[in-house]
Amino acid sequence: MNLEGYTLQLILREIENGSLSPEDVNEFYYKRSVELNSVLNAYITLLEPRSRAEGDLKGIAIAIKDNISTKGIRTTCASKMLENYVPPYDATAVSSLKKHGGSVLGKTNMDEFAMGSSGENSAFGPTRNPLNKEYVTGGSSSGSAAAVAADMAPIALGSDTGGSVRAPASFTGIVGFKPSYGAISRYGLIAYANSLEVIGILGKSVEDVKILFKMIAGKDPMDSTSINVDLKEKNISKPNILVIKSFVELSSEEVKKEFYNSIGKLESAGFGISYVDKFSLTDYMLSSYYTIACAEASTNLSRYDGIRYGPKVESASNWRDYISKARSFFGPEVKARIMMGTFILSAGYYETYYLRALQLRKMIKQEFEKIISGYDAVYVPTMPVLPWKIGKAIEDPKIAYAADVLTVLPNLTGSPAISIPVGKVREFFVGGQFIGLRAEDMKVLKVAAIAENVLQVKKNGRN
Amino acid sequence: MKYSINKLSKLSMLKISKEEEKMIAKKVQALGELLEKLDAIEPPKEAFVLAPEGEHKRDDVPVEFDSDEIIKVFNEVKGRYLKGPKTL
Repeated sequence: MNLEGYTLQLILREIENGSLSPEDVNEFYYKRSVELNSVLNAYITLLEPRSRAEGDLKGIAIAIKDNISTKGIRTTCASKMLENYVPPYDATAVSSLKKHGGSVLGKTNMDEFAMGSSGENSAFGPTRNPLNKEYVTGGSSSGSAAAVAADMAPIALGSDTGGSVRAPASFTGIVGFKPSYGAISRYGLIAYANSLEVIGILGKSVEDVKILFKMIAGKDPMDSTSINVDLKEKNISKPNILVIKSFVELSSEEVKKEFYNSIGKLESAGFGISYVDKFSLTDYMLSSYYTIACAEASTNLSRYDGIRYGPKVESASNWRDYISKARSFFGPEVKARIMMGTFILSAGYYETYYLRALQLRKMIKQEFEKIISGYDAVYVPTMPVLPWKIGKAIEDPKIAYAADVLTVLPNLTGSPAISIPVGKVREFFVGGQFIGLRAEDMKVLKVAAIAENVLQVKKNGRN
Repeated sequence: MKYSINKLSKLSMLKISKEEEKMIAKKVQALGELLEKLDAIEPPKEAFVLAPEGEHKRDDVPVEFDSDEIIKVFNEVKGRYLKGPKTL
């Protein structure tokens, strides 16, 4: 049996009509994962299938990013710091999946503590792009994206702090959905930057991510920032979308060309396309994002001190020495961000940087809400460049930081955003993202589903 | 902006090895350049507010903490939980 190219929707339909059994489905993905993992390094932990055919998900096993807590299953955040950490509870998103009959296929590789845009910053080695193994997958949900793109999982959960679901989805040619802030409970998601991050979904089609989103969305008493979003289907047939030209202009020539081609096709299919020249705060989005993210990271990661979390240190002369030794288990990217965050929050710099970044964030949100008014979604490229060769961003970290420029906006505003493949350059895909107003997740999913149907860049289904 | 890697690592209680020093310095410099852009911005007079007041009110119900369940899971996996806290 070969399930290459099968969407979750198709698998569920075929199980329903008896042409497939859940055991066969799980066996296929497990065997394929065992076979390909030595090349792609998509999983940190892989579990033998052991599920019962029940619920809406019929017992299908799903890949989970390794910063989402899974009861009794090692959850490392791709860090030596948590190499042997086994959570005693499930994240709400995972328990919701289990309630719907899902199970855990494995824990996927990622940038350490979700810090990175390429999938190279993992203590377990970089994830390789299934489209070309010499290139990065994008990050930080690198393993989740590679697993779905290489048919090592039918669908996967990731997390998105500044584009960590959409970037790897774009680089591997799949669909990546970042819901509104709070739409999916963050309970059990190991914290990096609480005010920005959300649990997201990576799948082969917009319909697939919608199926899973409806199962795990909703207010959770364990996460006071969670909200109920309207999950009713939206009745839109000819979406009105707005293109921000200054965003498109930040992209490379080949990305721009494919993106503008996609606009032409959408227009011919009846999309209403409008343009705005400039988003006035474009130049400050990255600064605001990295200031807030580093500040929150330095606070959140202070718990890894070898006492509360992290490996025990055998000998230390005093408590300061003990903590410093315990914290040496962090990788370079995490250390750099903690150091920057500590600096940002220190006396004298708090007002100059942190407070100013928060003020900017508010201005960015206000401007975004103003420009999107009257439109169903904003449409811009997901990544300004195509995937780069593994190692390039390690040499020059500016490459990875600059690559986030088009994805941080929805995290700053709390908006839903979805990346779908909209063009192709050589073996790679160009991703386009639809961004909506906070809590209008179903509208964004509907617009993306219509666009996916019009563009048909990647064919899924039976081979 | 004035900082040194040594000072920052002490401030953050992070030991930096010789091998990673160069790499971390590059990353800190790149992040620092992003930060410096904020110097050019004139902050708005309006104070920053996270969300309208109503959205701050918590309406969640406290959930009972089931320590027996947690200890049960821990016992199942303790062989894999290396060097865990002695109290457990």
